[in-house]
Amino acid sequence: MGEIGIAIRTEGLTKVYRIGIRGTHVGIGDLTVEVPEGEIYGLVGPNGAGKTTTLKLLLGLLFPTSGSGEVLGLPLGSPDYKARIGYVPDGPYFYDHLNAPELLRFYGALFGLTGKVLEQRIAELLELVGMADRAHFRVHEYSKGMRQRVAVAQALLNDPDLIFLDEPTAGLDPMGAIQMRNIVLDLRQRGKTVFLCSHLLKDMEPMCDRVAIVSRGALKLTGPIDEVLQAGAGYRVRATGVSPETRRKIEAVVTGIVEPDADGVAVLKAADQKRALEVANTAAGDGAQVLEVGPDRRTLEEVFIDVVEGQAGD
Amino acid sequence: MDKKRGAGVAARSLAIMLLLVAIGLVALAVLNLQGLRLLFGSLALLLVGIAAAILLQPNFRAIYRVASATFFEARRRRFMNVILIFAVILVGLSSFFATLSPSAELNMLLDIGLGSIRLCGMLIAVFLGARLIADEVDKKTVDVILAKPVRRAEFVIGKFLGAWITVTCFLLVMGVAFFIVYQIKAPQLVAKMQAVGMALSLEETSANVLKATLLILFEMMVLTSIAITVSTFASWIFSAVFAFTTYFAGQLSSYFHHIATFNDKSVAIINPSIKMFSWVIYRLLPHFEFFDIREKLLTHDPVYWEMIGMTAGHGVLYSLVLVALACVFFSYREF
Amino acid sequence: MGRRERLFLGIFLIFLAWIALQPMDDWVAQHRIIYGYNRPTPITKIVEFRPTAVTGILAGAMLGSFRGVAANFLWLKMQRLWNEGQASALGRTGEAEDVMRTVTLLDPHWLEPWTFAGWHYSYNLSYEAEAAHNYARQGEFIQRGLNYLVEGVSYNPGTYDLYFEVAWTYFDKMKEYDEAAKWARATLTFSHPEFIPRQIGHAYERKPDIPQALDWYDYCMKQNPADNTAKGAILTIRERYLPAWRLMEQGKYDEALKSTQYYLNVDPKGRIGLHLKATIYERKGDLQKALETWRYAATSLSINWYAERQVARLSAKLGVPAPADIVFLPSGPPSLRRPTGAGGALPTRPGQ
Repeated sequence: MGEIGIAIRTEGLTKVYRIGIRGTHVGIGDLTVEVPEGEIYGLVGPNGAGKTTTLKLLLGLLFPTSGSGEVLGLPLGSPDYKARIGYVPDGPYFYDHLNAPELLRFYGALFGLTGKVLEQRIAELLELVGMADRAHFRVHEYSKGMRQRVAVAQALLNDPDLIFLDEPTAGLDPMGAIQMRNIVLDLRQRGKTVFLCSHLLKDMEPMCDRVAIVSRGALKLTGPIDEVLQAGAGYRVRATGVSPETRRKIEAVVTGIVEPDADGVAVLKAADQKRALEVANTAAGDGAQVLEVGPDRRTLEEVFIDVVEGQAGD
Repeated sequence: MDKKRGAGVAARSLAIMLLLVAIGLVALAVLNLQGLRLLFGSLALLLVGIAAAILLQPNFRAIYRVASATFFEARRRRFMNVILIFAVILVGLSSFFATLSPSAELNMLLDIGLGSIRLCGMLIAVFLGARLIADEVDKKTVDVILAKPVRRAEFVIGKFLGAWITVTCFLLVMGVAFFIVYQIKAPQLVAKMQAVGMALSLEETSANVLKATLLILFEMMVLTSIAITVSTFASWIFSAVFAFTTYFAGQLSSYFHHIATFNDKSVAIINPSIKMFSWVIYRLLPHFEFFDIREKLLTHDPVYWEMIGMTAGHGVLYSLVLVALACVFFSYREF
Repeated sequence: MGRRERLFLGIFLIFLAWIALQPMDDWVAQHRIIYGYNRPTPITKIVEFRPTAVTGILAGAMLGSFRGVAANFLWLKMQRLWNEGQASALGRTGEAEDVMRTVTLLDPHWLEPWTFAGWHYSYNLSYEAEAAHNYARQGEFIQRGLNYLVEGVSYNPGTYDLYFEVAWTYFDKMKEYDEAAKWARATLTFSHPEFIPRQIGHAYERKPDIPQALDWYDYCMKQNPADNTAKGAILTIRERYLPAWRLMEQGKYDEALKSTQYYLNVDPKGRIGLHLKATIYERKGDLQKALETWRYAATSLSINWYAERQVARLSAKLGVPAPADIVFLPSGPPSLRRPTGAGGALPTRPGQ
């Protein structure tokens, strides 16, 4: 591992699928990313964008058509890094006839864990994912949320340095999604690197330290989440009771006005902090109630739509 | 770290040397130098095996876990129970043919009993072998396993062993069922046959039944390996059909040999191209006939352990070569 | 090394291992042949056989152990054909023959179909041909039945059953007493029923070869002193035929004929007496008289193909055409069979 602490590095990673005899389909093209250690990295994009392809390339389930990559300093597909990673698949399927401890015992043995160490680890993990009281159920009796928890537990059996999660919140109810987010945040707390793939942008936004947006097999945008969401966005003032008179006063200063929503909150946008404060003062002086003055952080969804539309314009 | 790498390089060069020697030995076996092709061939096989073990350094624990998981999962497949019940009924039926002479009745008992065991064992071996890996891929459980430190070859070997152990258990159940029927039915028949002066003993015929069942076990090992090998690159339906076809054609392998070495010019149908074709087929087909000792069962001659060992050993080696092929195919498969 | 190269290397190594496996394969195959484990492979039989039966045999062979079962079911079909009268010589469909053939090839160790097939041809079908006065056809059927039985012996050489079936067919149907004795003697190597040595005696008695017949009856008495049939036979032979035989061996042919005639006066159609008389004439060198005696034996006794063959043999020796009323039932290879409708030179059995 280099000094910078890079958990995953890919260079021009490309996977081209063959369809029929002549047809081809680019699963992922020319992907060059770096995932620093200790961060939560989100690979986001719509269905079919190449997220799962990338994940499978990193796990050695697929072989790259060209390009290369390293996981924990080892070349892709090498069996040596697999002892140090965990993988939570999308819509996890397991051997249906086993219950959670049996399943974990099986996977644990594949990591070479045995005896008391393994049993203790299984008990800890079931506690962590909140499955300790339902451990005796067989997998085919599990709900989607329970399967997802067991999937997380099996991925953590070997106390991995790097965890891959494929659509961790898909199909979960809001409570389940929040619990999953807490588990992921807790992993970062413990110094793990987390690699997430998802199309559920709302769930990803509060989790990720760094995102990469892929669409139609190509990397569109990558960077720390704050940079990505804020890039070129200016400042904003959120206020209620903004009168038409105020509007006229600030017309020269604002860059845009979002009309009041159902709660009567209007958003007044300004180019920089100074102008934003000027807008806020004017509005407050006219009797409006200023709720917030701050950077105009866009949602991941908005950024994403921009990116995809930009692509459409290409 | 350097030391470890050095050891790795040394092991790798040793393996490559062994492989080169093996290639030489195979060449000698093909040339049949001094008529010692069996020796050269066996040595070459041994060396290839050792080289493979050095290069791959299999994790036996992982293999064992995959095998045992396969075994415990396979027992829960419903079609297996149906086949088992069917087999036990068939074996039971074998005792209801009473209209024939004692010797014909004994033969009928052996034929139906062992035939049912073989037929049902075959069904189980084919369907289990064909579906094991295909199902893992379909259900994506294979993704999780291969994301663990389990090599693909280890996964395949584990699956194969698990399947074979399952088939073995089923054969044991059927074998015991038949043996009980045999012990109820055979003594009177044998006594009747002895009464008319036929030389046979109950102990010997019983031992033959056990030996025949033992050989079926190894036959099913070969069949399982065929089904598994094909299923690593084809759909389970294709591999099941392929395994069935190979099984039935393999029963005819000596016919192909006969045609390939046929020298009667008066039979015009058998021309050189047909002989060549038969020879290739004979060489490619697994010789499922080897596992059949019906000739000795019907004549009530003793079956020698040497013959059993020889046949079983050949079956095991044949299966290993096939499973190695399955490992190679599976290692290059994408999910 | 790239992925593809490693794939090819792996396949190459496995190909190598597969070649290395072949000698072992041959080794096992060889041992199976040496120790008699291999299945009978009647491939040449298949080649000369009808396509319908070939399918059955191949399917059966594929079934492995289930061949015996398949044979059983075919046999049930055979019995149905038999009961429906479809197995008759007249208006045959050939189906019964196909079924019989298939069964015997599917399960050559099952004795019953061999016996049945032999009996069906030599008795049922041959009788039907005889009733239709098609004697050439009759001879063909008997010969085919014998061929079946002899083939059956080749698959089941370790038990007396089929040897005896062959012997009996030669004795009772073909009236070929030397062959009958030869095949019956073959059964003695195995455990066999008590009547077989007696049967050898009967064959020699009818030929006649009086000393051999006596030897075999003596053998029976030694095996079982309570064998009254053998005892009776010995008494009869000693009283009626032995004196004549001894006189003949001493060259006193006329006295021998006189001794034989004494009993022939009582029973003018006595088979053994007539055969003995003809034999004495032949030894004496009076072939004409011998021929006449054989001819009398052939025409006056019901179905005496043995005598008929002797007539044919002596006719050929004397260079006269065989009488037209003699139905010459051949044995031996098909090329020696007399064409239907008599006429032409009569064939002789080789070695006679």
